[in-house]
Amino acid sequence: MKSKINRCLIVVMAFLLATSCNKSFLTDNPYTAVALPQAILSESDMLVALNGAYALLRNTDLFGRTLPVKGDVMGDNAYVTTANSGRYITLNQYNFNNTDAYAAAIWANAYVGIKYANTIINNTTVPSSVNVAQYKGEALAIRALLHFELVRNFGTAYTIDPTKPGVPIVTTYDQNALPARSTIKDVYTQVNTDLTLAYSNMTLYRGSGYFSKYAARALQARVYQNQADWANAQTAALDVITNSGWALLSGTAYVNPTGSLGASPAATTYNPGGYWAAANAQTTTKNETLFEVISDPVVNNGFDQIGMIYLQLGGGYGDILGTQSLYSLYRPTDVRIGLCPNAGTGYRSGQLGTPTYLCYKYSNAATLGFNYQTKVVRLADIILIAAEAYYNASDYVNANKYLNMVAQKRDLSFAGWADTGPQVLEDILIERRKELAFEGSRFWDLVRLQRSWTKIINPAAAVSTVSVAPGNIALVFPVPLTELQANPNMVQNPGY
Amino acid sequence: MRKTFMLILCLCLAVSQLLAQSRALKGKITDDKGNAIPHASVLVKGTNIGTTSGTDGTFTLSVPSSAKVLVISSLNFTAQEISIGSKTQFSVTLVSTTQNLEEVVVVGYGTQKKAEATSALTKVAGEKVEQVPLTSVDQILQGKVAGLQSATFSGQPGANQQIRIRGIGSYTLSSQPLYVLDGVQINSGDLSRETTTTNVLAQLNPDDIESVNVLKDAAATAIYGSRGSNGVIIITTKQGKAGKTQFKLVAEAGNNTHGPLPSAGVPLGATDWLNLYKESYVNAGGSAANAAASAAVYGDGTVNTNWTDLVTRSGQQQQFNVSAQGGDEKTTFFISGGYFKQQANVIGSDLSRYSSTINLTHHATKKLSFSLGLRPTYTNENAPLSNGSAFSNPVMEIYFLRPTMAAFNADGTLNTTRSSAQFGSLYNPLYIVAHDIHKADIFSINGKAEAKYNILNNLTFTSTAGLQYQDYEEYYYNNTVMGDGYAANGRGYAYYTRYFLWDLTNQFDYRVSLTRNKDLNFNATAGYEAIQSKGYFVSAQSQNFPTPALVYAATASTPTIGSNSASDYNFAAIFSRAAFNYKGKYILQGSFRRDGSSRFSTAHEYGNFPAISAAWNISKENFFAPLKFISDAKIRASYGITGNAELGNYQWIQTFGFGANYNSSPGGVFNGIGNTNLQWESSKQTDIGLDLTFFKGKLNVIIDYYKRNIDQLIFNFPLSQTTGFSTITANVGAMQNKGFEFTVNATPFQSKNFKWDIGFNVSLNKNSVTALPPGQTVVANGQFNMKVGHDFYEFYMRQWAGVDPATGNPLWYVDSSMSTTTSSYNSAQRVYTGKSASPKVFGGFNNTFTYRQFSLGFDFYYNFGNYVQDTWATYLNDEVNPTYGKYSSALNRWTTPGQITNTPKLVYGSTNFSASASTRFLFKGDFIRLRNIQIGWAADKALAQKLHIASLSFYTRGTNLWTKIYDTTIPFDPEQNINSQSNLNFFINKSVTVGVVVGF
Repeated sequence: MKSKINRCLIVVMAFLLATSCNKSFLTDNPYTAVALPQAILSESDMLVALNGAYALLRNTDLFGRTLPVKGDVMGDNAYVTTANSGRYITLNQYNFNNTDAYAAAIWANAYVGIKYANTIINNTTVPSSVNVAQYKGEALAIRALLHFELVRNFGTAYTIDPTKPGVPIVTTYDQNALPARSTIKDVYTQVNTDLTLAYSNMTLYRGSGYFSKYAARALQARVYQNQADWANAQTAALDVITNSGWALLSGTAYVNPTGSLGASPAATTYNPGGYWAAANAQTTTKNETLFEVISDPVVNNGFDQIGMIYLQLGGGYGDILGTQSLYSLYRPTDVRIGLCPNAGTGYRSGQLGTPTYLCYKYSNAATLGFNYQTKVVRLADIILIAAEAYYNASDYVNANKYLNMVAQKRDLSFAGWADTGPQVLEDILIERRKELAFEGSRFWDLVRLQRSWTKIINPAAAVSTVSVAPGNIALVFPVPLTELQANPNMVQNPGY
Repeated sequence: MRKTFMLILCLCLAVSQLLAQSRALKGKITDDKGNAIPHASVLVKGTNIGTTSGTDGTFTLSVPSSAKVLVISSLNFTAQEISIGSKTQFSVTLVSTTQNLEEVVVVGYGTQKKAEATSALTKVAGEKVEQVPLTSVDQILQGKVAGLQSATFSGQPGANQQIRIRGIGSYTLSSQPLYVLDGVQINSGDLSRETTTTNVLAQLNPDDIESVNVLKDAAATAIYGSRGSNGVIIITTKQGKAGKTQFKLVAEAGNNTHGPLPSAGVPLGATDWLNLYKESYVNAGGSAANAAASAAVYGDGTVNTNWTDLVTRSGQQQQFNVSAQGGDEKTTFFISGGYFKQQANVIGSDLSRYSSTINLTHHATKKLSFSLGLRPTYTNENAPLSNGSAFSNPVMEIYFLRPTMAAFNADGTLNTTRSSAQFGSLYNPLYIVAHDIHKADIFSINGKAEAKYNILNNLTFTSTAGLQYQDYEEYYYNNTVMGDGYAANGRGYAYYTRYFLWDLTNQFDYRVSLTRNKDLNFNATAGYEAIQSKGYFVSAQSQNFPTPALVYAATASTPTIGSNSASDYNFAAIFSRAAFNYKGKYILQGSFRRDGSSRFSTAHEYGNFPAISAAWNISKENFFAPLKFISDAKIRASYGITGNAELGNYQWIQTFGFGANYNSSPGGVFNGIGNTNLQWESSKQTDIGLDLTFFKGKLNVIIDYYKRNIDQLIFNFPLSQTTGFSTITANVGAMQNKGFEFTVNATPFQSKNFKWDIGFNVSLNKNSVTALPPGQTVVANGQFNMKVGHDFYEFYMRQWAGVDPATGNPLWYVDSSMSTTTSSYNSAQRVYTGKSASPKVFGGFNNTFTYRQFSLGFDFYYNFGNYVQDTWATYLNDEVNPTYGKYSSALNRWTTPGQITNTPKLVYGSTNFSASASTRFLFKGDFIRLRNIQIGWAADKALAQKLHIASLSFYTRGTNLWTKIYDTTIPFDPEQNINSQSNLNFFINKSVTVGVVVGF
């Protein structure tokens, strides 16, 4: 009996020791990730990686919300109401310090996106093909877009001094890199190099949610515009206008409101209709938008979607309202006024007595979904860049021609602009402001042209404003303190 | 009864006289409590004449007249020899071996005689654990163990408890101790994914616990190797004892309320709120007429809602436990069932627990025994979002909602008006609690099967297979009308989480005397252990529900998340411990563990963790003999290395992860930076201790000094973010904890009827950062930027300089010299304030008075020297956010030039950062709290016998009934989480219960 048990025990023990000592016992592989070297081995792998890079653009602090919000809140189109959820206060007040959360998040996320793009661009495993060229081209355009946003957010305007520090240019992954800031000029050069290569690489149109040949070219027109390189801006813009196949929509096809705002957000039945009510990005058509960032019904930022910051009803924060100066620009016959309707003076607490101008460019907000897109490059913008390029060549005829190409599509009864001289530029700026309101463009127009303006912090109580003029420290974001602490080669912007 | 007894006695006498040649002996064998011991062996010494006792403990034995001595023995009892003499009737009381004078302490992978222990460990006996009506055993440890800091910061029943043993043990990794439940290294803490807070230990019925042993120094913890750095807490459940089956019934009921809010933190009433609103509006430059019009939108003061009263309640508490234990020398058992229900003082928050335990042990042969333990438990927790700024956190709404808002409509229904003059972006907490679901159903089984074989008398082999099965079904539903689900027309989240862990141990225990006279003894333990934990997760989310009546996702139109994933880790180790013991005076012990973990790259998967310790029982020296009042004196010293491997699974691998989907197509990204050089954090701890016992145990003193150097501290080392990563997890930096622990347990007075027991412990810990990552002088850590020489939790912020009496503007000191002030927040530097979130001193003080059948016990917990930050100050002060509720402290605001106050002029929508983080919102965290008080009455033996039961007691007890707060300006309870930052947590429950315990 005893010896039997003894023997049994020895067998059991030996078994346990033998099985458990197995070397592979300590080797665990993750279930939801692969080791990096195994990540992109085929064309389809590369497409998956490319989707990941696009998804990053949707980040709340990139095109998902902060970038477009900044361009209006820091300009003269919008302000943060008094009763708010605490978001975008620093932007609204022109009051940053070096730990500003929005600056830090834009910085960090943009470089994350560049890293994602680089894993595609620098991939040498997948054999070249039409698709691979397209995917790499799209990744190049993404890298260019992010470098461009970085350099204009964290550096002074190119038009002021392109030799000033821009941002580090990152084209390869190196976890130990401690790069210094390249000059603004060098960053723009890199952006243009990437966009030129993207343009020549790409041959496919995969829908407006993806970069295409002409979306890259259009982005380049904007880059040249920011550089005030008007000859190149004109060439690029005309290339898009003439060759891309994109077209503007006209009148009610663009905006066609139904329902009413009601006396309070809860009573709202309003829907802007038309192009702006479309829930999905276009897949084969080529209307209006060359490139937009998609939020689908499943994968989106939820309450942190940009629409929620404007939406008054439902779970929207409704923190940001339009300014009177923007609203008053629209003629009653301009369909675009339907994207910025006036809800009256009793619509939002904390703003009583001041008219409430809403934003309906994130239209699915009206139907309580999160699946709507952030427009990044629109044809109207490119046409207006062409107009501005002609203006700078003192060709007022063509300037007005392109200017009216947009204006008369939106206001069918508008007789058209016909000024000459410096007034043409003012006309273009008004049209840009009206056309691109709430798309994050206005601030950059004011900055690159070195304008001074009165930014309304809040029109209620005592009207509080800030006078913005070139040289205002807040026009340039602070380099995040965390970056300065981690990277001894980094220098801060003046004033922080 | 008595008559029967006399009759038997007479009969016995008669019989004995009849059989003079061979006498018949009769008797009864009981334990020290008077319970019969069945199956005890009764043997005439030197012969094989014998018998065993019956189930009632009695025996009858005929013995030859030559018989002199009876040997009476039973399992778990010390054998006794009784001289027969002329007696024929015996009443034998056996002493339980577990109550041997040689007290035994639980150590890793075994037990040791207390005198032979060389390490710093504290035992909390099961009786102490049972005494407190708290949900989980880790809450109960607060104040009971020197060196153990336990923060009860949420009143959510079943909330995770933060425990720190000997200070903060890590920067990025967990600082929680390792829990070993009946020998199994369990997954502990909050394993849920959707519920705000859960706690594995809340699944364990404190009534099933035999003892909790806290291992503190390296001598004790190094045998747990890479997981021992933060201390080890060994929880042992009750085992059956041979003897008559004993039943125990516990019934307890009571209620939970919350203590009064500190006066500074009481929300303003409607009139005050409106007046201050208008005042601030005018201060901002608005006209009085506009101010009045603007305020009128929010109300005229006729509605004055006390949200605190609406959100809090008197919650019920109930507990029923029943257990049975017993057995014979072959087989013993302990079984129990328990029901525990606690409703928190905040609406919608409760926990129900249905627990059970089966512990069986069977001695198959003299050499082989095996045991099985199983504890299936079901726990249901309803937990509204219970911290932070989540709008559906009812406690947050107490402070954020305006008193001018009505909770109910005129017709008595709940107000759900979302207009901005009403709830706006905030929610009516009553509606949310009534219509949202936020629950976790937790099913768990802990268990262990063990076989023990005595190969030789002094060599034992033990094989143990333990398991921990944790199954979480969480459901979170946001209603369609108001709250987080409104915009999506209702949202439902269903999360399923499963953790299955097994822990396999094979070990040998060997004991030998190395000299003939048994002066020098050696014992050793060596074994092998393998642990595997497999986590499995399924998540589903959908929105757009057709009707508020149906809340399950199948009715919703739009699924938004459908995913499953898994995550595993493995540990494999050899461990050993050996000790030399010379005459019980000098003990030298060493332990060693070689530990391997899947959490590190192949190059670094193994680590070695040695410890050495020594003890000198100085009181056994001859020269100590004159010092009669000292019964025992022991000096201990130890040094050892332990680790901390509580970092994420797979974190060392450079990975490309998925789920970054775009336009309904799969997306993947390079998001795992990995680090193949990653190793465990290594803690080198020195401990010197002194254990003193005076007056035969009436006074016990334990003193420990420790120094704990944590090297290779794992930091998320900041990278240039241009790399696309913010940080890399790497072993850089170091930290030190050193401190004193002092424990006194005494019985200052004891007479026949009256006994007074005192327990007191105090812990002092000093933490300092000793090294930072190369090239870094400061590491940003929120409000606690880390710097060498400074406390890990030292607040780093702007220094408040008060309010400018001339203008009412806020002032801060420009720099650490505090020589000049500024009214510009951004011009003030953040400085090291010298104020830490960690207490300098904390501990417990308890008293028990016993008079006849009555007892009175109270336990205090005290905490001094830390500062607590109001992290939500900016929303609730100074009209920065004028539409939110306000603290009463706003009434002290500056109004007239020359006025001295600490609250600045109220400016509507103020942008001067007056309410932003600064030392203005640091409060002294000092407090003394009456954690538990208990008044009891126990029936004496006579009464119990009359009632045909073994024991009966009634008690009433209260937790958190009294708190002394030293800082009168603090707006909330000073007991917050370990980092002393308020987070709008549920209020701590103030419980009063009455109970009865019956044994039979």
